[in-house]
Amino acid sequence: MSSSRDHDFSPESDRLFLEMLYDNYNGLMFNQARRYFQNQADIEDVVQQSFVKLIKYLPTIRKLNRNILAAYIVNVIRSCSMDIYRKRKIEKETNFSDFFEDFEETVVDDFDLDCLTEKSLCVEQLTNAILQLPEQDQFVLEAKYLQCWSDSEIAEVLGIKANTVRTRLFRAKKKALLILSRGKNEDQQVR
Amino acid sequence: MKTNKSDEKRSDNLFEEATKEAAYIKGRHFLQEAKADPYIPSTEFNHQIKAIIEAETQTSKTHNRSNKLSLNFSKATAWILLALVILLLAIPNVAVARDWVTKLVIESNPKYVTYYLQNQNTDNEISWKNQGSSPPGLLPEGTYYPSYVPKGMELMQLVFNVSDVSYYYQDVSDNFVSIDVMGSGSSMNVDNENLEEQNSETVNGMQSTYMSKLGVGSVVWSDGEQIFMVSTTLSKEECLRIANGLTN
Repeated sequence: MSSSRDHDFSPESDRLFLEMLYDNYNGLMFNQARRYFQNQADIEDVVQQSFVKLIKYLPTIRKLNRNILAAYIVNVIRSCSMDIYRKRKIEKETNFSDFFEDFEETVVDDFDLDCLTEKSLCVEQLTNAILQLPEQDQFVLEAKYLQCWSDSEIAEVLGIKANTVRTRLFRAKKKALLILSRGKNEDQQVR
Repeated sequence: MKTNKSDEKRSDNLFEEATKEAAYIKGRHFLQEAKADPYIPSTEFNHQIKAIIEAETQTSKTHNRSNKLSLNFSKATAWILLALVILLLAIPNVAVARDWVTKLVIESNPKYVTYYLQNQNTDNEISWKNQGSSPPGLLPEGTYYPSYVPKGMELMQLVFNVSDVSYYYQDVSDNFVSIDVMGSGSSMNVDNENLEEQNSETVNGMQSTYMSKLGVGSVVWSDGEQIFMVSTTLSKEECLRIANGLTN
């Protein structure tokens, strides 16, 4: 993970950016934290921990545009909330229960990724497919491609093994492609 | 899996692009949601966050300063280390360093310094104790020393000042050899009452007097500038051999 000091901005510039970050996104942070906790103290804990975490990613988040930064912050809120849940040993039947479910059976294991080589596959279609994925699958994809976390970092956040992260990532992709292929089949049937 | 490396790379790139695109759409949605359901944090919480920001950016400032400080400190440390290395190379061991410092003191204050070495019969004995070697780097050039001392004799005491030097050797049987060299202007008292033996001998080509009394034999002579005396409980032959071995 990159440190907030691994960049060339002055401390004053960092301060201004962080103040802007909090002023502009505290509503979003609280809004998301309230999805996972009801207690005011818990909500504030999550927001504070997330903000501290965001400071660590300062070099990365400086480069993000407004909407993507919002998605980034939401993921950090989510990972911090999960962390707090795990530390408190709250059982899985919480808001994250679906995250830990074994969803593997919903994917056909012999699904062929060769279809990715098809020229017809465009980013827009894949984006739509990703948006239809369960939240937990989207989280794994975003942790990998948006947050740029390593497998071990994602594993730490999710409380799973690094190998399991790779499996989940692979299956999230397959699920997206499955959604995509179903959509295409439906289109063909309509025609 | 039938994909090859390039397909995997392409898959990765596609998913990265699509994930970011999806994140963009979701981000916009999240912001709209937050706007529709505004939340105003407490003033106290806002202060906490401001304090965190302040602490973090303050740390960055001090970090820069400490970087400069540590750089200067590193330079100073490097110089000190370099000096120590040079010192250690120039002076390979502590004993030599001791002799070097002593000699420096003696030479810089020749009129006022008396050098006094006492063998405490410890492991740190004076290494220069037998024949055939001069005081290595210890005494100034030209100082007289015995080139021969009988086997088993150990230097127990050495006294040196600018004009005089004396050596005292002893063996395990309590036999001793005492050598005195006195500079010009010095005088020497010799007990010549009730001598058991007294006769003339030649030492290093110079006329000397050998005397013996109560088991101690002494030979005394002068080269015109210095007075020499060797006294020992050993035989007359050994006494004269030691005297003949005196050199500078």
